[in-house]
Amino acid sequence: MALPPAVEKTTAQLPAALRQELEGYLRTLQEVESEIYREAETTHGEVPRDEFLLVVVIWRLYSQVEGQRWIMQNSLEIASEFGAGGFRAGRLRFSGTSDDTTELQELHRSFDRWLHQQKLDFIRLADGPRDVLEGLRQAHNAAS
Amino acid sequence: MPPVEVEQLSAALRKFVRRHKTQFEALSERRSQLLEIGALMIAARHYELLGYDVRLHNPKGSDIRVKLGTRGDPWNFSYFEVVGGSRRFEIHTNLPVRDAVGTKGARYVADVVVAPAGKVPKRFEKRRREWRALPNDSLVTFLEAKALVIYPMLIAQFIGIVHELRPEFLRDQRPKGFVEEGHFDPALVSLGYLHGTCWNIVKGFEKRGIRIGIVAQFDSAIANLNRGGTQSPLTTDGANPNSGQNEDIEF
Repeated sequence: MALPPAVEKTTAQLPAALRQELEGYLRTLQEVESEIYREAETTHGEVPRDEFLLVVVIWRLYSQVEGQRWIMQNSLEIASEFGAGGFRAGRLRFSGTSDDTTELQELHRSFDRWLHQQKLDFIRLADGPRDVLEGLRQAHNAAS
Repeated sequence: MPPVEVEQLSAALRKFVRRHKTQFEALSERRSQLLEIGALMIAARHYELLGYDVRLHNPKGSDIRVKLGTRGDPWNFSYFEVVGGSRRFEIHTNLPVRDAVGTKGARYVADVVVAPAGKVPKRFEKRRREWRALPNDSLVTFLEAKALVIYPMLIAQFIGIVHELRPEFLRDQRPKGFVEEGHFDPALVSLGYLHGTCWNIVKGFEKRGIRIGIVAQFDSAIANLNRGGTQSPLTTDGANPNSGQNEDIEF
């Protein structure tokens, strides 16, 4: 099943590897979409499909930023606890002040602000597409 | 007017991604590099959530060094020690392990390995010169970390590794004390999603007595811990929807 144009236009902006992974995920998700809607007791009339899939894209991107931030933050906390300067794994080296760390923190902060501006704060607490759909359903109910 | 105007939101997201293009590119490039560090951290966090005391041992230099790949000796890299009462284990990365049937020269390198404390030589130990791999009976459990979409062949490959290292987990036989000590079943953790062709395979594991974990979208599981989640994504009780031991698979 083809992805909605608004979703494809968005994923086209992403780096190739992220785009590929995300589009594959959305196509798989579409196979169980009706089940997810049924479990959330929601209809496409309440939350349109393109809206759901677009917000799933946002959730996945935010999860990736948050996941990397957790790894770096935890690693650095442990490093600091034991008096270590940073983390080294193969060619990757990061510390509390390295570019990787500060860039990721900045991206996370910007993403948080952006979610707030878009009134999508519930994304920050979502565990998966079901929570995303539930959040959208509640937003629609509150608006009606 | 609906709370989310799709075209407007799509345009806003595209603008956001363009503005942070460099950071999103770095995010994409860093994913696989951080994967094994993330797997190590999750394993340590798993034991911490169960009340174990987790200690880092850092043998060399001022940086924490994580072993990636097969090269290098384990005593030159950092590892975690987990202590709970009289129970002591160690968590190492990319550690060679002997197979379950004692095949001469056979060594499998698992991404994250849990072993009883003291089974991997440390600095200044003479016996380290002869050490080649962890004896199979010292392997408690392990993780394999991938940055791939989980297709049936990836699951089959992981089952093959479990078969060679700890086949009892494929015969519904966890070692004595395994659950009581809070260990996690051997698990495949992946940044990729679980492809639709795998859903019924994973759902069928419980009935078939296959005690392994399949954790898809590992970064989302990690993000949950970042929000203060208290449930390890690595389990033995089937509570984790991604573990493959539950009827509900998290998409």
